[in-house]
Amino acid sequence: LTEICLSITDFRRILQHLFVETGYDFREYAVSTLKFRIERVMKSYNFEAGEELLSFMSGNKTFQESFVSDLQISGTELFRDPEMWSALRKHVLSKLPTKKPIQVFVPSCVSGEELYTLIIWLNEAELLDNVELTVSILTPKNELVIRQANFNIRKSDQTKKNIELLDTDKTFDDFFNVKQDYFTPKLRLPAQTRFIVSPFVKTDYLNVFDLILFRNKLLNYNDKLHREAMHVLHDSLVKGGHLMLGIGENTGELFKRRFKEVVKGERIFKKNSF
Amino acid sequence: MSKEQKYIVIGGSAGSFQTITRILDALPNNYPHTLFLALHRLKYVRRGFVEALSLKSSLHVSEPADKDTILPGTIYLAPANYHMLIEPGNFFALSTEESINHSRPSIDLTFRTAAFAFKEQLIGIILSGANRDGADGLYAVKKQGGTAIVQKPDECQVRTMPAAALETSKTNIVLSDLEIIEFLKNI
Repeated sequence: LTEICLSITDFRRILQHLFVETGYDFREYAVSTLKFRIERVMKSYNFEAGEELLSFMSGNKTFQESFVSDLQISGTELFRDPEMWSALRKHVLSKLPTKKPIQVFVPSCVSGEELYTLIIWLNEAELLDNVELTVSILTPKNELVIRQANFNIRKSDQTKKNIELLDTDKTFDDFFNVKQDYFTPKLRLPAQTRFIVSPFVKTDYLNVFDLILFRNKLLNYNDKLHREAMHVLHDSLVKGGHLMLGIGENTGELFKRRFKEVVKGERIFKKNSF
Repeated sequence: MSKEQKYIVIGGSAGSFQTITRILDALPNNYPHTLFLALHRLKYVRRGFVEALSLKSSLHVSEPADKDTILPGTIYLAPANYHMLIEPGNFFALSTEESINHSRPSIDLTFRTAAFAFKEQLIGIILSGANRDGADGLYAVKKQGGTAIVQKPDECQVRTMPAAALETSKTNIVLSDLEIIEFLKNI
């Protein structure tokens, strides 16, 4: 780990500067994780003070682009929290009405681990052909990474373990092809997939989606952005629609009564109709 | 006991469970300080650990959710497959950041963020373990003005972690498990 310890003042100056130069806004993100990521970037460039990073960033489009990538946290492994995925299939997917296309939203997608897990799982539930998928991304580069879906082979052992713990007879080899140093899903994105390049909280859907996958994204936000994000998530869902958050996340006090947790502890929420 | 609120962050891995349970068992139910436990654990086993620790403690033991407020007299265990970070403003931030030293939760990350948040109010303790996670974190505790403690490597089941912490932090507070318990009871 790095010995660098960025002051809060420099931390805020860097994010302000990044916003002014690029329009990418990380100013309302949680401090501790983002601060650590900036310190790690500083170490890789041998910067000792925030001032050095600031002057290097000024007008340097190549660095700005890679810096924005470094500040986004990608997924960990596929089928993370297998109990949640089993519960989702049993309590939500099996009960979705199939008369009209199922509208699915995956906001703030970075590298696709959670997205492809959902696609595989929708396919297992024989719903994928009836899904219209909307994916929001922060930068156009995210779409390339997501479409490629080359997951580092180091993540394969944990993914195998997760699949073993799923409520299914299928194995890792049923879902993925292994290449030399990466593995890739056998299923590709559905043809009806729409990418939108936008900060998620700036999207303005109203009563559109049946299912929103937003696991471990609220972690990145501070209290204020968390509340804003929950408003957007709530408004985007149809009444009775479902929201999946990470196991360590909460809807927040304001939204407790607006959602009902479908399976206790698995953070699958159903939007109340009042 | 002093009146100043203290925060105690304990890091441990292989061989530390027995010492942890001894510490929890010894703390009284009116203990005013806050403990954070950053312990290496299986990623895919979410349940059972906090319940096992609760059996040994008269204090409330919990796994925090993201943005939970940090309360005095409470013991917090880093949840499985998340990093547990301390956010300025006295609350938790969880993270799915990549593993650090092959570990999520990372002892280093909990220690570093706690050191930044609590400065001299923080006491960092490294127990038995089989890798060098926690060494940089304990160094950060000392650098930010906190108290850095290492369990005597010779009494640990696995000495790698305390030996690395000792070498990196250069702390001179090296205590046996019984001395650690006495220290914590008397702050």
